[in-house]
Amino acid sequence: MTAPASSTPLPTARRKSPGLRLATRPNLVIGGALVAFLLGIALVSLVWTPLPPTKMQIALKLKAPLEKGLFGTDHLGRDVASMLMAGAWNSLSIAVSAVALGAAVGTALGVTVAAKRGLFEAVAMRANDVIFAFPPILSAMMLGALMGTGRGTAIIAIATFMVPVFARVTAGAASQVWARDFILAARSAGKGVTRITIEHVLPNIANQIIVQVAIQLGLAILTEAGLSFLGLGMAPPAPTWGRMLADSQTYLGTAPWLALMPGLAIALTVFGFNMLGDGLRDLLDPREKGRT
Amino acid sequence: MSAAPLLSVENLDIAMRLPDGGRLPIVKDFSLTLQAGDTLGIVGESGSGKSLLSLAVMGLLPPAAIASGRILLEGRDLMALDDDGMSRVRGRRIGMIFQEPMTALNPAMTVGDQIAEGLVRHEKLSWKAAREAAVDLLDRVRIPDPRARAKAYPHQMSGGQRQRVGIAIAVAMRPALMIADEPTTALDVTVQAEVLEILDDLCAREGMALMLISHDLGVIARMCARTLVLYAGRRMEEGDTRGVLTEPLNPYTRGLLRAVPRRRVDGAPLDTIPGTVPGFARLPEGCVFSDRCGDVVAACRAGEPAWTQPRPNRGVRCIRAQQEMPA
Amino acid sequence: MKTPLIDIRRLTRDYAGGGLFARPSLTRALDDLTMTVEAGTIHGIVGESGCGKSTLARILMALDRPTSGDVILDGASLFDLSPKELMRKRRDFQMVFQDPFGSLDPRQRVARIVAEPLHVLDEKPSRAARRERVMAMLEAVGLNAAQAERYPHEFSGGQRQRIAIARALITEPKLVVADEAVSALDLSVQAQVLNLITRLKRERGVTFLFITHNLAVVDAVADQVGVMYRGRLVESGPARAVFERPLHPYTRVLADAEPSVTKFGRPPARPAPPAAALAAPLTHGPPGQGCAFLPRCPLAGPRCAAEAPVLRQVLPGRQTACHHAEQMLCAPA
Ligand SMILES: Nc1ncnc2c1ncn2[C@@H]1O[C@H](COP(=O)(O)OP(=O)(O)OP(=O)(O)O)[C@@H](O)[C@H]1O
Ligand SMILES: Nc1ncnc2c1ncn2[C@@H]1O[C@H](COP(=O)(O)OP(=O)(O)O)[C@@H](O)[C@H]1O
Ligand code: SF4
Ligand code: SF4
Ligand SMILES: [Mg+2]
Ligand SMILES: [Mg+2]
Repeated sequence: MTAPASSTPLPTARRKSPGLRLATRPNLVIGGALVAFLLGIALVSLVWTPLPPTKMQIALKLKAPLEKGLFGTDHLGRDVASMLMAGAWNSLSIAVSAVALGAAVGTALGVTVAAKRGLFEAVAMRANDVIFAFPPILSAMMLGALMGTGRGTAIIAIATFMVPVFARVTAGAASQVWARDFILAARSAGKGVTRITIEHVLPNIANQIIVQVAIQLGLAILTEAGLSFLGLGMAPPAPTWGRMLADSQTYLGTAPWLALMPGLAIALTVFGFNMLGDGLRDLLDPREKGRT
Repeated sequence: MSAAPLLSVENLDIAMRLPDGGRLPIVKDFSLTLQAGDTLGIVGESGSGKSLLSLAVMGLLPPAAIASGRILLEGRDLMALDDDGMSRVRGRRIGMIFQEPMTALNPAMTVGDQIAEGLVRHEKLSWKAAREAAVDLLDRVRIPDPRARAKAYPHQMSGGQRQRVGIAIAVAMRPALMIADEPTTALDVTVQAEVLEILDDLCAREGMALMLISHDLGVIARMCARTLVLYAGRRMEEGDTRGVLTEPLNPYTRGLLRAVPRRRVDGAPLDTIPGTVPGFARLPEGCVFSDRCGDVVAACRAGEPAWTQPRPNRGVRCIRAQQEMPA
Repeated sequence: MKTPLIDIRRLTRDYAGGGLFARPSLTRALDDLTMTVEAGTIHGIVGESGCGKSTLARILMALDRPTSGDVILDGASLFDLSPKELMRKRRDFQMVFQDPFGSLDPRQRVARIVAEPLHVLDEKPSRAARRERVMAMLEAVGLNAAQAERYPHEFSGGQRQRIAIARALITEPKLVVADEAVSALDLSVQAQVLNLITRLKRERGVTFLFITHNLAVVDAVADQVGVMYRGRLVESGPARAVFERPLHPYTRVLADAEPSVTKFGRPPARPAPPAAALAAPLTHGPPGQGCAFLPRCPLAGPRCAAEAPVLRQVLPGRQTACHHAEQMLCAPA
């Protein structure tokens, strides 16, 4: 399967300074900036928001943007800008925890499948398919029935459907690594499966995992919004983008900004993570990396 | 026969466009002429530009490549042709055999149909007639039981058989020029010998010109009347194969020949060329071989030596060969 | 006669073939292979692809187990060792792979790659000692200490193969199995690596099992050579003698087929297998019936279809598995 290997080191002119790399990678720059901005907002919301996001001022309800606060107020007179900021924290923290959990379990499963093959592989991948067949909303409803709604439920529900995604990506990538000669070299040096997985397989698939994490974060944000839209996310009054959307439905005609603002926030976040994922994929592409 | 040679490449330069906008010259000052029935071997180490040359003649250079100069086939400038014109030339006038037969074949189509396909498209044969012709071609490349094997898929054949199918596809249109890029590198010596013999027969019988690219000097000696030695995208030496391999004029050719593994009676180490092929971005000043050449003198670094023809039918790029050759 | 370093006894390896749709079948990758390798020599193995060379290498490295047969390495059977003993024994045999671009982990620095086999040592060397050994090894293969902190992609094919050789030698093994270790290298670099292997044998007494399909390469470095055909050893002896005067028709076919810079143009036609021998029904029955080389053999006679030839001594130090080896003796070289 090996292509004839070129013994010439590739031209040095390919090696670019990191700065140059960034300039020629708009995806990475835009995605990175968006994500950094959102992360900043989310963190700031922990210590400061223009108004307390749960403070109701019924007298000032349904004010248009700039009339009261930057983005107006909702039907209970809460400040939309403050809610968005607090919502950013809630959404991001759930998404990040869920993806971290899903990636950890999925990766562990995937590399084990690649190392074990045989029956274990067959069973694990079949189980994967079954889980994957359930929409996250459904599993969240089932989980919600079992353990009540809230942050934990949302995280576990989203993580559950992240597991098969990561398992599949890492199993594929890891199998390819296992087929390489340097693994044979490690085996002939007497190393065991676990050690080879940690020392050789994981470092060689780290890129694919990182890219997948960025992409799945976007998806997790979307799912979290869906869950809280359906009332399956964090319990009120904690503001989330999904519930803001749900609450805005009645006022679509009179106060469209109530739907527009959280909608935009979700779209921007998903877009940001996807761009970041694309950009990272380019940046970490081994075909680019292997060149001197 | 017309006066124009079958293939003539004049002052071909190929550069690669770099992602940062710069250009990296690879092939420089390349010229050759090929008459009908000629067999020319191009030797060079990995990365010397052999494949880029063959792709240039086929009009299949990667998008990042910028070529200048002229490539004339039967007097027609190929570089001026549009895609349509070029694809008519490919297949009909120029055939190509690839190094890895598996990647060059369609895994989802029987080998018989893959051979027939070109005949249907270019020669306007019916599928029935074309399939019949395909069986005949498989027989000509010595596939046993060709009628049954025509229905096989590539993965059901051995490497050597796949390469024969590749040859059958390439010769189906009776091209005037056949380009074979390392056609036997992936094959065993015994299978290689058979494939080379088939190729040899076809060239002799059909009067096809052959441009054979290889890093194996032995394969070139077996197949080609003329040899061209390539190093870092430059032709270093050209001439009749026996002359080039027995009386090399360029130090690089000499070094290559000395590095051919052979038993040393005295137990002394094999001769080597010191160092490694430099990347194209850091070629030495002057002669591209000057950083590894045992015969280097100060003048070699002053400027790139020109291509000279010390004798009829013999060309060399080396300052010292020029000085030492009686005019 | 002193005891050999490796004693390979009647090694057979079957692979279960076929699949979901095909009928199950057995591929016999190694067929009753017996041979010995003396310490301090370079022992070449040649043969076509698929003849079982890599299977042999994998079994010798204890990466795979034979279906039957045994390998005695340095007096002990490789497959009777407990996992722990095997682990300890691994320092004595190492391997160099064919593809210098695939056999080094792209994510590890050279120093770490070269140090990898050291972990089987009973007394793990300290950081400093490990570093010292790596540096000494890199220098021994012609690389310099400054290159230890670089990644594999910064090296050319020949340099990478040197790194792979340094890794194989770091535990000071008695045996290094090199499977097509120079096949992927350019001519000018190939000679550098071949010289390195010869020097390591001479200066450190390392034994090499040098597997390749290229006769000229074996001829250039090997002391002894074994020729394999379809999982069997068909000829063995001193490399020089074997290539100068082959005693098995297959060795002759291989030598004739190999292109050379001194052979110009079309080679003289080879004698075809006699029609009479081919007419005999070619039963691909159970292995052991008839000579596997029969369909391609110009010397074949009636006995060849009936009885499989066994390896026998024909000249001092020269063994061959052919009923008609004596004819090869009289044939023009
Ligand atoms: N698409 C491309 N983009 C950039 N550089 C390229 C591209 N294709 C080839 N090159 C460079 O051009 C040079 C010549 O490549 P080419 O494939 O012609 O070598 P070759 O002589 O055929 O080598 P081999 O024997 O390994 O096949 C190399 O340095 C290679 O890295
Ligand atoms: N893992 C395997 N499963 C099935 N068949 C195999 C396997 N490895 C090798 N073989 C078969 O065993 C034979 C010998 O293979 P190998 O030792 O790799 O040959 P070589 O190295 O001489 O080219 C071939 O017919 C090959 O197809
Ligand atoms: S020009 Fe000089 S450096 Fe170049 S090949 Fe000739 S002698 Fe060597
Ligand atoms: S035993 Fe017979 S068939 Fe086999 S190699 Fe010898 S002569 Fe040929
Ligand atoms: Mg090429
Ligand atoms: Mg092999």
